[in-house]
Amino acid sequence: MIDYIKTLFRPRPRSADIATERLKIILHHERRNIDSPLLEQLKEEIIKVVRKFVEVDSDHIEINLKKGDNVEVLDVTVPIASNPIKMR
Amino acid sequence: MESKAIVVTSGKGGVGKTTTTANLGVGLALLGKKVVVVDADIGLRNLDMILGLENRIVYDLVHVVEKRCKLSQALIRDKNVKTLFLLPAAQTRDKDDVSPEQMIELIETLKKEFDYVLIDCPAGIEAGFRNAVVGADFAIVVTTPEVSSVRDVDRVIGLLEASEKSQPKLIINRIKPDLVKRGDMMDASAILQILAVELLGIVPDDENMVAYTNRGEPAALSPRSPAGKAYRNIAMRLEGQKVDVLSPEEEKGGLLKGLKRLVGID
Repeated sequence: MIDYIKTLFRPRPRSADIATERLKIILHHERRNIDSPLLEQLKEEIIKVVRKFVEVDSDHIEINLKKGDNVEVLDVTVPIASNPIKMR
Repeated sequence: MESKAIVVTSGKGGVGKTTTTANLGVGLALLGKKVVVVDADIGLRNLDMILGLENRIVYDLVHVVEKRCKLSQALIRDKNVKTLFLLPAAQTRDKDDVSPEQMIELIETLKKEFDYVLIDCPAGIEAGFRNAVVGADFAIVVTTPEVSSVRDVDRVIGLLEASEKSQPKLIINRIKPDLVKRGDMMDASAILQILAVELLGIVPDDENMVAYTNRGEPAALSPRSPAGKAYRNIAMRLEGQKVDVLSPEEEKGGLLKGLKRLVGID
């Protein structure tokens, strides 16, 4: 409850900060892609493999390439559809 | 109703083609139409950013025309309006990777599934322009009230007329009523006199536009944005509804104007 009230009063993040964050992620992704197009293939293959086994909610797939201190994280979120077992 | 393929073009860069495409897409989808916005700016995609869908892209336009994926796999459903879809451009390819024949086939296929196919054209008048235009039924040309933009749009109108499409329709973007009043900006009638095309709408300059783009939420979603309202009005006109083209001065003086009308002195 308290948390809910807090979210009501939390200021909406400034749009300039959102822009900076979005650009950092997308530009990092694109610069990497130019160096190694393999990443693009990897992303496609991961989704293909998941699709083989379960029904996927294609509308909500998200791909982010994040940069940590020493690591890069390719974050592929593939939501599973509500009726997940694929009929074979 | 027959579906329509409309290309949004301008010649000059930076006048608001992509913003216009996104906002008209939102506006038409809010009217219940099934809409796809197609990013034809291959190699420099941006429509995904304006709609806030940049991290949803797996397949793109070039994958589709090369038959490396199904069309349905490349279409991304919008976050906010359920009947709006994006077909993103490829980012690591270039304009010559798609042929005019492929574009015609693609747009024809999309027209079978959607009420509106809005094509965001790249700047310039080279291969990318020709590809974006070739499959469209007609064009919406966008200009700002600046000499360089009006000049370039005139050239584009000439090229479109040579291509035997039906008459292009004009959107004048980023009109600043204060500057017009001061006499330091051309008004809509001056621009129309020069270009001699049908006026589809006037979009007032809206300083919040940057914030909408920052968030990836087009202005047409916001009830308070004057530019958003102008885009929703244009969407209604495209749907054949009679909506007066309000000059931004009138839109701005909404309350006073309304009161005057009420007491019958307007």
